[in-house]
Amino acid sequence: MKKFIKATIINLIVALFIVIIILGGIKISLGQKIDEAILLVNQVAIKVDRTFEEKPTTIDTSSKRLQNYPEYGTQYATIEIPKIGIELPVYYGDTLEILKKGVGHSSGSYFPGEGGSIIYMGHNSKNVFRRFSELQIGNEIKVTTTYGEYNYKIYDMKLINETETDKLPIQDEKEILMVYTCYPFNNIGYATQRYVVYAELEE
Amino acid sequence: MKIILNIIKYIAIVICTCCIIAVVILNIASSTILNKEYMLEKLDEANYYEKIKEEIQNSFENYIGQSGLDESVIENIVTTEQIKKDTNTIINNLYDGTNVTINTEEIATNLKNNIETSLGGIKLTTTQQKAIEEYIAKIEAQYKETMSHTEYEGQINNVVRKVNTYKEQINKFSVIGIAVSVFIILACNYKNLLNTLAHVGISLTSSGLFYIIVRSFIDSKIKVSNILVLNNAVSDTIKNILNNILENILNTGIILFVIGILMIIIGNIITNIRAENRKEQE
Repeated sequence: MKKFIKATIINLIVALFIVIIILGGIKISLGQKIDEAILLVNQVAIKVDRTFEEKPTTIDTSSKRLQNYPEYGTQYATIEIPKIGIELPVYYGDTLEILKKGVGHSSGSYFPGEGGSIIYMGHNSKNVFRRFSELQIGNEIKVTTTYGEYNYKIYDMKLINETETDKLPIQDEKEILMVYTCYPFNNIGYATQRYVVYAELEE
Repeated sequence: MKIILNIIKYIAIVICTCCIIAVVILNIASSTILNKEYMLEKLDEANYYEKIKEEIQNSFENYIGQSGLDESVIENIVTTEQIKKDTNTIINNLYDGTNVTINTEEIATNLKNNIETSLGGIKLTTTQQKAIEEYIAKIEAQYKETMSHTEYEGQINNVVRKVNTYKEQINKFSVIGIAVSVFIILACNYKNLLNTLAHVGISLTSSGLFYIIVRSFIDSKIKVSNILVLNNAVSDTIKNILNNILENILNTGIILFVIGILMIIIGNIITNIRAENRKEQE
């Protein structure tokens, strides 16, 4: 009986040892590739951690930088254009999904108050920017964010092609609000042109 | 001589273990991700067709805002049957390399009819007609993109083709490896052939343990339930398939482990009894 138990234990230890050898061999020969594969899979295995406390967005007026940027896809402001009777929510992000809800803020551009180019976009539907043609130089655009109010005055309007991104330049020397929509305003089908309204911050 | 035989025997056990691991892994892969029918079954299980239909409808809605058209124009332009048919085409492309393109003619016709109805027969300018044609083309492209994600189709097809090419060879090589190593173990145990039972048992236990450890490792490193690829329909299907594969790995590991331990115990009991009988006879 003792012999049997001893033999069984030895066999199990041998089995464990073989597993260690095989795993060690795999680790040595394929370790890096396995790590890369895990990293790749974990890039698409998003873990949403909502345990953190959301801090309100504030602005440091001296450095003109936001603290605690709004979360992507959330509403952080409203845009008001009195001339055409519009007041719409502004969301951080520019996905088509966001544009279904209101006005999108291009994630590559600056935020109001940061002193750079701000790019907003919206559909040319009846409830959004269809009446853009009525806007004139000198008209006001008011953006009310969760951290402050900003008033802009329209100084230019341009019609551009959808690929002319250089007409929406990103710079940080002057605060400019660029709001664009598809053109023609009452088009039917796919619109390849964009109507851009340029407004500067009123000090 | 005994030491040399023991070394050869244990090398054979290690080879046998590696071959069992390879055969099992190939069988799991062949019956799951490399199996076209299995994939179709999993798509059905994950309610893929309905979910992807919803995704497609949402992607169409994104084009409504700027089109100046009524939202009703994109209603019912795609049917679940068409999605099923096109999914089959894509799966065939992936697994058989058939390279058949999705036919969106029906969608284009349905959309065109809906637009005409919605516009109520108003006379369109050439520019407007052109814009509508472009709009229809965008919707068709969007459908194709949401359905097949063309940029991945070629890559997946290449991987499947490569794996299938090597699969048969590795399987054949592994089966021969198992047979040869068992034969070597038998030869090394020529004085007591029943010892082979315990030694093959070691191989099975090792393979089982290997799979149990691998499964635990994957579990600790990857959160399958959080995987998000392309859209909800695809993600849910991938999660379903991965969970199924991990379950297969664990079950196979447990079965191999239990059989291996039983073989070790039975082999050792028999060897022990025979040794005691021999002692008594002496």
